[in-house]
Amino acid sequence: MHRYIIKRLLMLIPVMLGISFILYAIMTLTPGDPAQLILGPGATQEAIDQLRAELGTDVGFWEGYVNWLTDALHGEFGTSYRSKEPVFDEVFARFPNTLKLASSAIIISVIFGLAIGIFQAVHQYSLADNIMSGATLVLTSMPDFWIGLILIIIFAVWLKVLPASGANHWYNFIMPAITASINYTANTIRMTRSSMLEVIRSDYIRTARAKGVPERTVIYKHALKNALLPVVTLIGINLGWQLGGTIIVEQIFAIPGIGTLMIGAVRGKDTPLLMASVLFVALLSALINLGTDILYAYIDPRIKAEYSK
Amino acid sequence: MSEKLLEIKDLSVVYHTEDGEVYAVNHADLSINKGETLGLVGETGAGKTTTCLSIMRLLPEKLGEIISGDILLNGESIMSKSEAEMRSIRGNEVSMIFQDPMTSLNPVYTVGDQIAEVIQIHNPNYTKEQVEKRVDEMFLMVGLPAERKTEYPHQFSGGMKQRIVIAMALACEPNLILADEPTTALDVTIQAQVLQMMKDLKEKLNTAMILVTHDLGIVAQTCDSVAVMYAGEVIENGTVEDIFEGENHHPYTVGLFGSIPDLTSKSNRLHPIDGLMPDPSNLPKGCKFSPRCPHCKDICKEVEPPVIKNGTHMIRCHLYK
Repeated sequence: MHRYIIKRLLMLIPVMLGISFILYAIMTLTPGDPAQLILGPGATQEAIDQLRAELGTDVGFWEGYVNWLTDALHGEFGTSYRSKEPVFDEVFARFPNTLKLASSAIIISVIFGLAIGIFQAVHQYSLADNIMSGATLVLTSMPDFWIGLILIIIFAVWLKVLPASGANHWYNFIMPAITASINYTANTIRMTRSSMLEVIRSDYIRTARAKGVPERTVIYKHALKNALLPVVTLIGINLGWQLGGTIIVEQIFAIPGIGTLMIGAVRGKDTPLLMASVLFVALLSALINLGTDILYAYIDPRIKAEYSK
Repeated sequence: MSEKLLEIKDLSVVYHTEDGEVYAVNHADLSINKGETLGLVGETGAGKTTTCLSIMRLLPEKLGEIISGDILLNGESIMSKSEAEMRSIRGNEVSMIFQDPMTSLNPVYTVGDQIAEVIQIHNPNYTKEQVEKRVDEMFLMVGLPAERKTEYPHQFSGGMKQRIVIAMALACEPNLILADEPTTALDVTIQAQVLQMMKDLKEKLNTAMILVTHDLGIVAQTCDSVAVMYAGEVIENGTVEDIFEGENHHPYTVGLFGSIPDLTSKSNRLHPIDGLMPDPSNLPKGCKFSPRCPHCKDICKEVEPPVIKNGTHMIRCHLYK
């Protein structure tokens, strides 16, 4: 198991290198010059050249990437072209907002996803199951910008009970968390339902019933643990996505999170800032993936045996 | 010895499927005495497993329904029992061994825990130590080292898994075991081992058993009486002697015996029964076996055959009227 984890951690190195290279290539090889963008259309060639030298963008592609990589390996990720702040200061100033939004959205989706999914599986083809199946289908099909706007209209404009934007208080996060969670909740419900249905029909569930195990124990002990694998996978993927910044939700509710930071960095051709924020998010996603895989081993002993090979 | 443990009277079970009603069991009568072994034979789809599941009242919910008949366990009807009463019977008084040991154990719990669970449920006043002690005893009883109880099902071979399933079924010393083709999924050498073990344990604990099987050899070795099922009906029923040595037989039973290779005869060919089992959602009128029967008469196609009784031997056929 430890060997497996170390192996997976070592595998992160080439992944991170690859991501950094692709990012750098996209940022430098696409048209648009950061110095030009910062100084505006009226700037003299002299001023532009001077700023280029300052930013270090006056060198070729390969040299530039090697410079960035050498600095990065020394822990120097540079400063933002615009704010002149160290890039990770900016990332860490924004990240708590994204973390709050993502974790509350995921918690909502896990609680409702599992509860409703299990209920539907146990009451398959009942009226409640059919209604909820219809509802989840509608929910998965609703884009989150639309849900966000509707919520703002209802709760901020009409009822005036919740703020439409900002990130200063916990109640600022209620609507964004609901908006961000709706699609994930619906997906988790569907996944839980189908996975539970498959497990409930299996032979070992019949064995458990034949032992005289009460139905509740059959469902929550014998079936759920087996049905959890695909659900855990989905939750892990969802969390990775969410931490990468729910750009649309952050934009709608004006939450200064990682998503808006990255968008700003792309627009301003702020290479160091974008590299730092994307690499940070990528690392997080990779670690969540690893966490999910480790969790598998605790759910299913067969996978644990597989890991220790 | 002749005390009746289980009596099935006129049992009919229907599965309500999307393609219509499937008549899985039709007016079946069976009975079994304490400590006895009843062999339940017949082709796939003859209603053997459905009969066993009915005794446990574990037919698939909403899908399977007992439409008529009664099942008496120790003289008490189980049809009127509540779900909670049924739970205290399942695994305790009646337990079931399923066909495929590969899939009948929960892969995410240790085998020890799975055996302990059935002991705990039916003996709620046992301490942890008593439960563990009983689990160790059960491991010993089925010939497995008790240290392996902390392992998971995937760490065992098929034969060992079936031993674990048997240990689970016997842990509360039930009066009746329903063994649904317990050895079909195992290879022949392991089959013999497991059967011998089941036979020994059954005798030791004086447990009655319904052994569902396709294998007439197994029946001859282990059973006291035999019921032959066809298309949901018990078409012949009697002691092992009646079935294996009796003079008169249902043509289907004759066909079953003809389908077994015989080492003593010189014939190179088997004599399978022609045709297929009728579609249980569209059963023929009259005798269900009539379309395949070599002795089929006009009356067979119209009138349901009567039950002909000769001592312990029962045949449902027009031939012996």
